[in-house]
Amino acid sequence: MREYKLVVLGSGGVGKSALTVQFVQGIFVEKYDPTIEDSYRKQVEVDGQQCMLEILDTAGTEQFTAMRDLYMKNGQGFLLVYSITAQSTFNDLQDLREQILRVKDTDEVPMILVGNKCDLEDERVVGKDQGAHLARSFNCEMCGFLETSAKVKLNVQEIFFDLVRMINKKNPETCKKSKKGSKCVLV
Amino acid sequence: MLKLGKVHLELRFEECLNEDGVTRKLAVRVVECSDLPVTNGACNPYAVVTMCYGNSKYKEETKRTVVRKKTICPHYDETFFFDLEHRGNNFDRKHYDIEDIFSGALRVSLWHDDSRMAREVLGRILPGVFLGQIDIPLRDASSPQNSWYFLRPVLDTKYSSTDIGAIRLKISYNTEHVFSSQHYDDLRNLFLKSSNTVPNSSSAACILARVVDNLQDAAQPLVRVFLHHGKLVPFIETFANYEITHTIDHPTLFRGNTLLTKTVDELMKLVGLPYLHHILKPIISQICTEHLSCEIDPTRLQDSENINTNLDNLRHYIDQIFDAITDSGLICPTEMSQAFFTLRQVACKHYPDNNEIHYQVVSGFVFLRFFAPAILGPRFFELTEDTPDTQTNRTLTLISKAIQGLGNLVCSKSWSFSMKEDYMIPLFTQLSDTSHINAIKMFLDIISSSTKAHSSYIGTREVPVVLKQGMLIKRAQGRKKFGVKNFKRRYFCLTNESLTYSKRKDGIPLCVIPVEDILAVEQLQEESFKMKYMFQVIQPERALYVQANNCIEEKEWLDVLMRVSAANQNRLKMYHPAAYINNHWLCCKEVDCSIEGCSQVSSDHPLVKVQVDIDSDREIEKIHALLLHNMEKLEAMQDACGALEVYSGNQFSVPMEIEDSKSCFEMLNDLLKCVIGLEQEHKQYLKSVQKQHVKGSFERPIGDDSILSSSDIATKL
Repeated sequence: MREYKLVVLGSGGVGKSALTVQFVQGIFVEKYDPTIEDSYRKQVEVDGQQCMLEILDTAGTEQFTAMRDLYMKNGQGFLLVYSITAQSTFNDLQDLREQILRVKDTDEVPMILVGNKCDLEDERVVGKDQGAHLARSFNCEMCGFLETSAKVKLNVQEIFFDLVRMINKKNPETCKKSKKGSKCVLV
Repeated sequence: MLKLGKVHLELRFEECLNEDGVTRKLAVRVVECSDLPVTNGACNPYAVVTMCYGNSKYKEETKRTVVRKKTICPHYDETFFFDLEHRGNNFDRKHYDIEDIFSGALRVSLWHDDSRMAREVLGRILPGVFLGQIDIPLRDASSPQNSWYFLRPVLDTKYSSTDIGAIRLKISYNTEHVFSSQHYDDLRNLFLKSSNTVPNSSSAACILARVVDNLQDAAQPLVRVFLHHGKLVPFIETFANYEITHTIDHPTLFRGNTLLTKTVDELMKLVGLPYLHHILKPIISQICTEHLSCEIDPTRLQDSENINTNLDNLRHYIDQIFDAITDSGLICPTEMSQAFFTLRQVACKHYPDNNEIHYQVVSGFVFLRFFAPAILGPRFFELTEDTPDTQTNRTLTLISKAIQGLGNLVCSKSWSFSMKEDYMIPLFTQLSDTSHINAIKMFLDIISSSTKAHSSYIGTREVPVVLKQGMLIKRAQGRKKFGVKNFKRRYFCLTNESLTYSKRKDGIPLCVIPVEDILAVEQLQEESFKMKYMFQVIQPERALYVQANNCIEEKEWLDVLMRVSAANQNRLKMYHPAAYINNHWLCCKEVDCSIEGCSQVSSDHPLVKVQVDIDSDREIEKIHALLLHNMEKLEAMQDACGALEVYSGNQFSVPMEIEDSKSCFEMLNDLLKCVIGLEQEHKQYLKSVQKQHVKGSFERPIGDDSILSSSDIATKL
């Protein structure tokens, strides 16, 4: 089975853990507990292919910025999360992306821009077009964009699945290599 | 750099007409030298000029000057010509290309003429001691040169650059010219009034934060300036209020990357590093050396490992760190406590019905932004020198998670961990008990308690935190000087607000001494009452003499009293080590009861009162440089304000969000005026420096590549 290392990044309080836990465990965490670094494993089927997702949920607090390099190096795909209710969380993503590209030393890194908390339409400050525009400016091929809500479970599975598809598109042959292991099932 | 003196050379290419047509020559004029080194008490220098036409050893030509006797500043004024096209019979002219000249180099070396020392110089025996040399690549000499050069030692040329690989470094170099204080007063005052500017978004600090690329660049100098001028607390208060009114839901309060959070972060780094080291350094180095496995995630477990052993190992470390942190409340630096107190008050005022908000706010800084990152990345907080290996890193990650979880335990009514990862549940179940909760609450209360802060706030909803209590013997404080002053056993209780005593535990207090009134806490000389283990609590009008049961208790009471009163503004500098008995002080024999003490009080705990050297002018200069660098953004903001004023109400044409265009415009105007004024001073200064030091002049010879000097910068301007 092919393994995917996915990393969830973004500023503090945008809902990275809420999205991750909603995807992995199917529950919405009410209690707010800033993350240091959490990791989850989940087996899913994407387009008929079994995948083992290793998801790293990271710290949004800026004091941990300097320690991000390591998991950026290991990650294959990235979710860049902001909150549609806070402009600054959207603005922070540019630096984050640059850090990823610098660490990976390539422009071709699968990423999905995620505008979370879209259930809070009344408090929206970042327009959907702004998000789409930023994603386009990053790299059309290698950056998707979706607005999500961890609370009402909107587009949660989609962002993870889209990211897996993106990694497949970029690196289809890695699958064959790991197939030697024995378990990879193609349906 | 080794001082080998310098040489003044003049180089020029000359073209001569002769029967073969035009030939080119290089003329090298050795003018003079200065400050040559002395060898064996003497210096009889001469210069050797070597022309190196290519890489081959045979393509060289050497000439020399006369010897000047007994001088370290010889004057030669000799000119040598090197024929670039007719170079004698030894040279193969057929394969010669004039371009090759420019890949060659000219070497000028200086020698001390000492007949006792014979040395081989470039294939010829020349008597002398090597003094220094300079290599000038000829591609640099294509235009006439008339410069001073630094002489250098011979370099080891065994390794050429291609043999040993390459390293890519990024080096940035900054020069700062700091003028005297009065030049910065205008700019400084604009920033110091940031906390009074209405609306907050029109303040100088806010504008600076808006235009810089990295908030930290702005926060660093601002914290230092505000701290130095005693304006940090009002600044934090104003900006916290501003932020709190712009935050929608309280769980994410102060979680963003804002000027306020960066400011508090910088403050913690500035004054809190010794405190952090005191708490964490011993344990972190223990963890790094013991190298025990603490993995508790079954999917990451190595075959030979036992998850229960690992959990025990991890628990052991967590307990140590947790105890070290929660015991450290009283040695938290005063400035940090003041900041926490301010944040706590602002939050409590804004969310009066939320009983956990003050824990959330303080924990969000001290745990989430201070302890947890320091445990996770000890190298970034100077706790270790090396990057820990993978296993230690994992241990530190788990500890950091647990400590952050514990710090966050008291932030909501449920007082529970959020159970996100399955494998953390057994650990969190172990850790969530009342003793942990109470320890965290007490710690957070102490580091953010009002008595440590000198503020006008009166904490109405605060419950005092009991710091120490127990039975002691005290001498009657006797209001009358000649009354009977007997000794009685009393139950003492010290909270973060006051020291009280009563007849028994939980009895009605007979006396309450507010912490503000504790001006000094010191030992009392045994001779005073012929009693051991006595200490004194000095108040404005009198002193309380207390006897502890043993020396350990005495030390504990002294420590805790000293720390709790450390932030009092009116603390004494001098005190009397003995009591006032029989109309005189036993220590200094003075009869005046109210005379100032004769001994210096014990010094503060070094962690509580951190000495930070701050040069306010230098910090303002940094701010000036930031503003100058972002001049375009400032002007764009000003244009936006102007546009808002003209087309009032029509915000659509303005690309920037401006809260109050009038006050913002004025502030921008003032800022720009200061920046332009300061920049003119800088330019003038650099011009004057440039005039004095032209590259290649006697003052600044070529070859001084140890630093870029000011005139290089000046040339670029």
